[in-house]
Amino acid sequence: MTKWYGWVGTILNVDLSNMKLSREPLSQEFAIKYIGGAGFADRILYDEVSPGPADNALEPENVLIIAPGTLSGTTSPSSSRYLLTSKSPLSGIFASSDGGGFFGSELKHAGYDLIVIRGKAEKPVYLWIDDEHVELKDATHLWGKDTWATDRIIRKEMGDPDIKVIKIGPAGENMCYSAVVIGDLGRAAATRSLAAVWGSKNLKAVAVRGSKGVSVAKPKEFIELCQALTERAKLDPMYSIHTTYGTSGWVHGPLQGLRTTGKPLTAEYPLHHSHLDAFYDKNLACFSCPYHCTHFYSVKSGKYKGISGEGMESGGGQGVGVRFGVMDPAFAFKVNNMCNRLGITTGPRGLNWAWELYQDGIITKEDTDGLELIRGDEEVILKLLHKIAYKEGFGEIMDEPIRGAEKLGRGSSEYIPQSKRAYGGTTALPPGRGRFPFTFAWTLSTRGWDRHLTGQSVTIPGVRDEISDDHLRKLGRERYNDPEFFFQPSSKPDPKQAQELYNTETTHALCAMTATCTFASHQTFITEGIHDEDFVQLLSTATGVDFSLDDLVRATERKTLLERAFNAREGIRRMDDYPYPYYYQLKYGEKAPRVDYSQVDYSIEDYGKVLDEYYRLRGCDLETGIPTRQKLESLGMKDVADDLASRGILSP
Amino acid sequence: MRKILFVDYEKCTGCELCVLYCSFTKTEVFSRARSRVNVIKWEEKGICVPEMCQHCAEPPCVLVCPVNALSKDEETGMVNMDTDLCIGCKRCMMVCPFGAPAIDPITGEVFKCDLCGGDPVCARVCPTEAIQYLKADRVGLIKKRQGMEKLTEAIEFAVARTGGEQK
Repeated sequence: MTKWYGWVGTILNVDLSNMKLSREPLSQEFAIKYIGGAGFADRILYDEVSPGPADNALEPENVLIIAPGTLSGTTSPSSSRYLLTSKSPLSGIFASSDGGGFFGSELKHAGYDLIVIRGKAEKPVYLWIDDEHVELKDATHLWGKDTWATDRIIRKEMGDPDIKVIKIGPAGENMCYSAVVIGDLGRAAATRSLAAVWGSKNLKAVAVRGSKGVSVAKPKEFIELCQALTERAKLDPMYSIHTTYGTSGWVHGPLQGLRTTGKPLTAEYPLHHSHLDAFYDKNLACFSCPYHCTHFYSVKSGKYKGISGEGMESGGGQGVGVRFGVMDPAFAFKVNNMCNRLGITTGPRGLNWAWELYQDGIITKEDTDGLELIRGDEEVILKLLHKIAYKEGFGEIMDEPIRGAEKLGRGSSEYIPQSKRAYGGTTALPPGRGRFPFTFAWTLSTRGWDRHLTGQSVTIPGVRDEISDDHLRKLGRERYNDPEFFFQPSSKPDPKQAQELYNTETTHALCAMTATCTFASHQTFITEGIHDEDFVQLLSTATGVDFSLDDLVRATERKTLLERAFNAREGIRRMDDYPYPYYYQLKYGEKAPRVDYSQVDYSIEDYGKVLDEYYRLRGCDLETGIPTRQKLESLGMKDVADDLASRGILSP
Repeated sequence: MRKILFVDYEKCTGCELCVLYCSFTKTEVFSRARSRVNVIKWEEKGICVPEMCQHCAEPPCVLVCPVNALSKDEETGMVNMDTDLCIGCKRCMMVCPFGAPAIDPITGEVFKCDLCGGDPVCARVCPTEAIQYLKADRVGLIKKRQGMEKLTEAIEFAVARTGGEQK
């Protein structure tokens, strides 16, 4: 048997339909070509899941892949995430979603690089992994239980409080589009409805205990590198904000404000991070992470007194109350707590949609099971979230706006900005410095309207004092030989933005292959985070394979092009790479209803030029956006080109 | 002056970097099962505590070891283990109140914390100083100061309030 370094050498195959488990040796050639994590998962998904309608994603034919990364389980900073990869039931295209905590590293310590789950169990089951011992166990008694109870019961019945469990709650069982997979108390793999795939397979949880550990090829070099990276991170201007408040330190302070008001939010905003202190008891971290960006929180007074748990991230959980007029920060914690246990996202898209419809009188309380969707009513928000999780009445309509609008009619679909077949984008794109890079990156994301994880530049002037304009000029000079690069007005997007997206996608792909948190990489404000060159060193010393930067970049290109090829088979084309207002125009030949085009501060032509440049960099056809044969072959993926050709979407 | 490992569990974030670095230093493998330090967690209560050998003043493990593999160094305070003498009887594991001695799942040998010979890696790498290796006299003072900080805050608060009313 080969001795593995970095990788641990085994894929676990789970056949739910026949209740069979098998351990398959990892091929060294496959490992070197696709690196790990998302790289492995994307290749398997491409090979095993054929194109078809989105609803097929909930059929037994869909495959669910759970992957830690090549660096998971080691001291490499923030490397303990796990990725879920599958076809999305929401959009019917490629989907990946990842969560933090302790599961990914534990899976590596148990000896697995990958779990591939196929078929559908006849009755609810959970997968139990204890090193070599693997077993599908009955989960009938867990069905209907919330995520915390599920965790508690599994640990109790296995008699081991150190088991790491990822699981779905009632929402996942009900195959809600808003459902999420939860690790620990509240580390969610949320996007693209992959928890519904778990529900469709009758898979309640995956529980793991690992005692074997991970070895690396060059121990001395590897550990010194890890220590140096950890020390360097402390020099970053944002380090103290990140380690104190996590994502709340910026997105829900400055960036959220920038998005809505054009200027950073001040402490007057009720969910400005300074108001969270009263709830945070201590900082918590994922395995192997020096950033400890999350918290144990408790509500100490008021009507939500006694609620405690883990969080909170910026975005949905924090914002859901404020968006609907609830100004009490305690409510955000109530929502966070409830959603984690039900296993649904803290910011279902349907909430925004329903509120807008109600405001405009398109729906009334006749439609909403008697609930009045007025601003500031906490009970209504909680009831709606509950209804979504249980698909009760109006909850089922709200759960997924595009399908909901089909049932509802009355022009309600006009209120849904779409991107790659899911709710995404905005009907208004307010101008603001640095806006274009966001829109461009989110629209181009292979999993559709990505918040940030497939790549984006978030280096924006004026957001925080810690990121000075001088610092950005230095970065612009270093990266693009242009000190003013990060100061471009968004009205005239520069084709260089395509290069910026390509670069950030490369870094984020390396994160996804190694299961490293993008928060620890050098892109998201963290200039002293892990750079691509550091990944070369980390992966080389960990695996013993002498990778060059070019080797890794080519692997990230394979990953991205496999995703684009998967989507191409599902019918995704160039027009899908335009933001909603222009996508609509290209598709229907007229302007999208309810969009104020005067607010879109760049033209379709200027956008198209940057898109052309991006396709050139990626090796995609300018007319269709499909990967070219030449590029696929140069990356050693002739079989993918042949597959696309056999389906008539690429020339033979 | 003796030095001791001082754990401030309120600062522990549960990242387990101490665990990874410990097992790696001792075995060149990243493995929770082979670490001399473990982080014990009660997730729903938000509590995590790094736990390792306390190098007791009157170590029960030394008392029960039938072959004198374990000994207390009166000068440094360390409880040392001579693996060459150890016969693997696990008596030390039976009597240790903290679970400090454990069995290596790969080699089958009993192991315990040896303070890395005087420069414990867990303290060196802890990102929040939840584990510190300190001169013995400092520890009590740290705790006293922490206690007083809370009191000082309360006094300041009270003074501000009463002072305000009197004016």
